[in-house]
Amino acid sequence: MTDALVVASIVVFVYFAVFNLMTLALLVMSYSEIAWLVRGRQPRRGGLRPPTHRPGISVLVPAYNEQDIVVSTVAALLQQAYAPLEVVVLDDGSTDATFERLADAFDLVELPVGPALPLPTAPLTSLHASRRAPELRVLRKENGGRADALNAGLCIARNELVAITDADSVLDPDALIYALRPFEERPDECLAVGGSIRVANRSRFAHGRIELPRIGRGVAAMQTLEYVRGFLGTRIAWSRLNGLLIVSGAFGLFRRETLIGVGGFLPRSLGEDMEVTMRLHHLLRPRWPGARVAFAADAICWTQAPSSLSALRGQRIRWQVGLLECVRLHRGMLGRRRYGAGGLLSMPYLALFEAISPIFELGGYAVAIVLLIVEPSAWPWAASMLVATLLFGQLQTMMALLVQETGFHGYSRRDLTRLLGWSLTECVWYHPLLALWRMTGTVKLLMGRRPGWGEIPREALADAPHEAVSPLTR
Amino acid sequence: MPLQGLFETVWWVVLGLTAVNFALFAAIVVQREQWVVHRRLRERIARRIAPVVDRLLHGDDIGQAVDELRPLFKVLPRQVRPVTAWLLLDGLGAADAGTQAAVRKALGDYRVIEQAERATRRRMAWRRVLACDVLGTIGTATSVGVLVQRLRDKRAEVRTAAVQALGELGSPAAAAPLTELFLRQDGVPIGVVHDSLSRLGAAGADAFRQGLRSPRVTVRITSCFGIAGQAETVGRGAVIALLEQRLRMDGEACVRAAAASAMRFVPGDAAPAALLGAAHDRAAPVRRSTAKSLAAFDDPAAVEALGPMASDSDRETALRSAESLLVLSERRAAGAQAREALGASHAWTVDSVRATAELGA
Repeated sequence: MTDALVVASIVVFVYFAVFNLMTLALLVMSYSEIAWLVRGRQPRRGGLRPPTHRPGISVLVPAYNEQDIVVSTVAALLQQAYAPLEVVVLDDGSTDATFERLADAFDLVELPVGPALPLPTAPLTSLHASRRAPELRVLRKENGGRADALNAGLCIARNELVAITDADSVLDPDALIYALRPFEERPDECLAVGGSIRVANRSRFAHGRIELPRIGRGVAAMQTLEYVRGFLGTRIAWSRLNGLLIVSGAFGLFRRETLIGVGGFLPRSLGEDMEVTMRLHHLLRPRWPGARVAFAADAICWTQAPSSLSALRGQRIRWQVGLLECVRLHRGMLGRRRYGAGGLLSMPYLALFEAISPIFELGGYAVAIVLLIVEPSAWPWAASMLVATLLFGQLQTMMALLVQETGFHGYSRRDLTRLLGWSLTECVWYHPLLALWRMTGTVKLLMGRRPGWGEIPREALADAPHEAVSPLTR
Repeated sequence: MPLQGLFETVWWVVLGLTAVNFALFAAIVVQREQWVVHRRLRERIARRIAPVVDRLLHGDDIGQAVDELRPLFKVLPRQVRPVTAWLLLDGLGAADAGTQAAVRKALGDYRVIEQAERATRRRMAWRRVLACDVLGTIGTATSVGVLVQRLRDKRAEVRTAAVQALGELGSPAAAAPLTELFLRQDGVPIGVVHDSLSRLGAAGADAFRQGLRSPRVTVRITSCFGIAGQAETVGRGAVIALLEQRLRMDGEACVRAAAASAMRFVPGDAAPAALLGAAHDRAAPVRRSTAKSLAAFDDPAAVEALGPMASDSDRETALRSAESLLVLSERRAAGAQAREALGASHAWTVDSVRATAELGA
């Protein structure tokens, strides 16, 4: 019995060692990229081309019952340092005053919706333009979910590129300029670009932008770490390998025609952002030489992360179900050379280390506990395994923070110290909780009890009202 | 089970991981301090050059102000001199050409340009990028050769910086290597090469003329816009003829769309026949571009083409056509006919663009 448990603990340890070493390799690759990015940011002339020579961008903002934040989000988007720009708010059948708040703030008037939409969506109710902001459109439609709203936006949008974002997200003023760069660098290859998502909780929001990034407490701090690891850590490397399988729904830039061509967003999907990115790879990589999905680390979008455990639980269960569904839908890419790094590296990584890791993680805890009960003298062994696993995790965090500090240097010394402090507690409570929730998601999916979208309670960003520069700013 | 042996191995792993974690912690601290050091250095340089820039911009005696640069550059460490020169010229953006020329000459005398040229061969690739960037601003005719050599650099970032710098210098001597790079479409973003060639005038126009016949689709697309930007040097008629040829003969819809789009940068009174014909192109992107470009021609024939397009099955084509009709309704020759077409139309797009236009008013 003891031998079997020791063997099981070794299997779990080796699994996590391989996972951590792979992630670490990605982080090292990201570090070399980010170092370039920083140095390349020094003297630069020329700037942007004149607006007549730039592709137009339509920013799609799906909103469902977002009355508290929608006006400030739109006002911030309208301050983007990019033209030609169109902001399309997609009111997905809100039952609160989302539309009324927009109508008051931006003085909306109705336009004809017009016929002939290339994608099927829930019925459209009305289309509105603004007297105060000519680049703003508001589309009202019956509720159909986020993906359905985005599909309606794709049909209505007038520019060749579409950026998708959330009503609770704030783009840095030059986010679109940076996101556009991969399209300019590889005009005939780039399919989509993912932006870098940061946690905005407790940060100071003024002049339509995050002026002072801060670290939240507890759950928010942990998510800050997760986002730094995920976005600055691994996505830069996946992008370099051309194996990026997810463009976050919080901020991504796509070719409009290409998205419509592959059928738009999958309406019932819980991970519609990942699914559509995988579909782009799945359908287009074999036919489109050099096709790639890129990541722009400089294109920053600030989002509000769930600040309570219950909200986080719902989100993570949803994410796990979404991830498993995407892996199942696009399993045809797994291990296939024709999909390049997407099929040979990213997909196996996603399936082996993201989708089923909760089984190994929870299995590891169970084995350690049983081992200690059956063979109390084995505690040094169990303890050493646990410490090694913790240190592997910490190594990832440190490497990701190094990438963050090298590239962006946004947080104050105090906040960074706090972040490091929180990271030391991560493996004790945060990781086990995440593993448990993800396992719950897996079980729910297996039992056919698919979770709904639910609602995430929003925290107002720490606004500085005296600094508001426009009557449109909240 | 040899638990003891395994246990010892795991502890070695733990020790190793602890050491690496501490090393990374130290690296984070060092990185933070580096930011601080760099920021202070930048601030110190900016403080030093600010009074000189002020005198160069607003003072009476430019010669004396230029002389003040000598002691300034003498005390600065050699490696920061090129960047300081860049900052200086950047600050002098509003100065007249005479002042800028005097400063450039002084920088040459202080061997700053020479240092930047030497830096294009440094081992660290990002330093080579920086040197190219700096040469783009402070470089002279002698720098062109140095930058052309960098077009074969093994790092794409260096090649890109060299292309941009050559464009900034605007020397026709760079036309041949840039044209070769453009036609090969290899290793440098084509938009960057296009921008640099566009700054070379007639020498650059030749590259676009060749590019229109390239087997590469992206090169042909870029060349359409490139040649349209050279109407002054090549002649409007010649540009329209080249674009019409693409619009009529190219098998790729995206190239035809680019040719139609580019025509709006060469406006005139008579709409090109090929553009009018493109209103019936089977590819929606071509019709979209055509609808937008027709607004650039004050020609009743354009109104005739746009009328049916306002009810096009492609939503964007229809909207753009209605918008173009609205634009033409304000023009001298096509105005009356456009107003009549708008009045007679029952297309939803006309209602939409009218409502939008009223908002603007």
